[in-house]
Amino acid sequence: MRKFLDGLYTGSGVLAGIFLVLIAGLSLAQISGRLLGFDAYSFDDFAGFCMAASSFLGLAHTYRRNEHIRVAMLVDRLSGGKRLVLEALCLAASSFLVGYFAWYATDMVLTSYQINDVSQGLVAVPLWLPQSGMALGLTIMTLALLDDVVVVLRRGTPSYLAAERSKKIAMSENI
Amino acid sequence: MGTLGVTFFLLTLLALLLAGGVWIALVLLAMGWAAMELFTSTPVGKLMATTVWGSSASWALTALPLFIWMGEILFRSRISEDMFKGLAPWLSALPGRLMHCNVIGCGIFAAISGSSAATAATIGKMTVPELTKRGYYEPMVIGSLAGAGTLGLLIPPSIIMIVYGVAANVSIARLFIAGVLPGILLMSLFSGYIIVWALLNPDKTPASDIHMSFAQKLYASRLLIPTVLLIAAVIGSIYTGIATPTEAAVLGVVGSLLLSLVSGSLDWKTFSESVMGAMRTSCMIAFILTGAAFLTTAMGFTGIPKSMAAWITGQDLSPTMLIAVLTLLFIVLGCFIDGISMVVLTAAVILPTVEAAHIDLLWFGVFIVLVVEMAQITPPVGFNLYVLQGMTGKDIFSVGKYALPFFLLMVAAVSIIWIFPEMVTYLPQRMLGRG
Repeated sequence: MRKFLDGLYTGSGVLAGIFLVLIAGLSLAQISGRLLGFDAYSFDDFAGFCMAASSFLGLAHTYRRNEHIRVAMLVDRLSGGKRLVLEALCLAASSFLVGYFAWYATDMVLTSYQINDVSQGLVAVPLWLPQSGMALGLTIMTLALLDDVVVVLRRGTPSYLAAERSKKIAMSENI
Repeated sequence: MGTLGVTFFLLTLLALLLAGGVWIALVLLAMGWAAMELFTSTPVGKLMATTVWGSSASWALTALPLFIWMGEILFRSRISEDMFKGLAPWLSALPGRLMHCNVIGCGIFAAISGSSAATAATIGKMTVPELTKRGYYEPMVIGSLAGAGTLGLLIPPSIIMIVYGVAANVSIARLFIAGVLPGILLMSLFSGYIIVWALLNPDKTPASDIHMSFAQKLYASRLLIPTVLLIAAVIGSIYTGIATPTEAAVLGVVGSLLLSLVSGSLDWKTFSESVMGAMRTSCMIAFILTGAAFLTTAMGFTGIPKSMAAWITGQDLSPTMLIAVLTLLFIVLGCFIDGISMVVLTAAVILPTVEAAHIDLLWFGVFIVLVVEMAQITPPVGFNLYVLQGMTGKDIFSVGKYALPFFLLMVAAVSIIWIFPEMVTYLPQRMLGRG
């Protein structure tokens, strides 16, 4: 289970990275198209879809590396049991919110599929296809948050705090 | 519950969630959710999904990951070393000598990088050890680096300007060009201060250890050529209208990849690290924009920004007073929250007020970037302070103290662009082609 989840987070993160490189590829093709005189139809749309896919699929991986920002000023002053209680509350609320969001994102994908919604550009893309990147990314993010709820309830260190610690150690070794 | 009651409730919720350590993107989403539930009977979840999808699958936003990626590639290249070697021979004749490497180096690097932390880190990687080794006065070395690093936000390309442009619906290309003259103004203020300080404290600047003929200096400057070419490709292509910001960014990415390839610092490891690093930063920002997009929509339903605009307009506040009050508010906020969140909260809540006061949204974009720059160096929360803390081992309050004169110079810069708004609007009015 642990292995599967870690693979899921890393895998979707790598996929997000590939979509980022794809954005660059599409924009490059667009410039070459303009210079060489061929039409890069709807490349703007495709780049936008890649942007959404990259942003959402990368959520969980970014979260586990502690790169989503939050105001840690007060939280950092607590330690031990109090800290764990606050982190648990924070994680539970976040799981609920992201779960709700993921649910309705999935609902949107299903609706787009049922009513055959397509994009407005010259090349009409069925919208459920790019939208599923968003639903999938949010679902994986919900899993990552719930994962940490379980870890904290077992009195362990949540992934983002562990990442923060190892980063600090790496930094102090550099200096 | 009346508008006032709901506003109070939302502010309390905001403070509670932020202080409780909930991730900022989620705080924004939660606020939007609460506001919608209180004010409307619309199905909130469905609206959340469609609003967010509409704002995320955005072509204008694609410039964001590309500029971040460009910065990640350059950070891993030899560029800071080359820049120091190319600049040092010319600057050592000025009063304050190599301390100007911080200002000029950051200014130049800011023109190829969109982030202030990356700018401070890349330039500081070279200047901090070199200047400390030569015995320069440490508080000035650290302070000038902290101050000049923030130029990464103002001088195009700029991540925060993309965020503002997307959130406030202002042309990113025009915002970029609008930042050029204020950026040069800030560099002159910083360098001017270093010169005055060096003349007043002659014993605190070590003697020059560079003895080169003019030809030798010119030869050393060849190291700056690739950087200058990159700047010309990125800013030049936007100004002349050849490229959109996204296209300029991709030119920048290709250019930086070539540059690292030639200098031998590009291999599979640095390449994949740069992609993943850029993906994470871009993902973090995009997530906040997601929350902000939904909050903006929700705020529209509540009518709070509109009534606030009407109330402030009714107070007969002069625009000067309004900007003064906003500057103060942002400086205080900037002590606690980061720049991106500040910009998106402003866009969701304060923009109607700004428009009602007939303040140009392009000018306001540059203003807010300047204020966010200040926020980068005010403790206890400031990204540049974290970077410099990691680099020098000084705690953030000391770094903040060293940076204070430069903070005050930024306040001066805000007054200057308020008195002479042409500094912001002159270049964008003369841009060619696509706005």
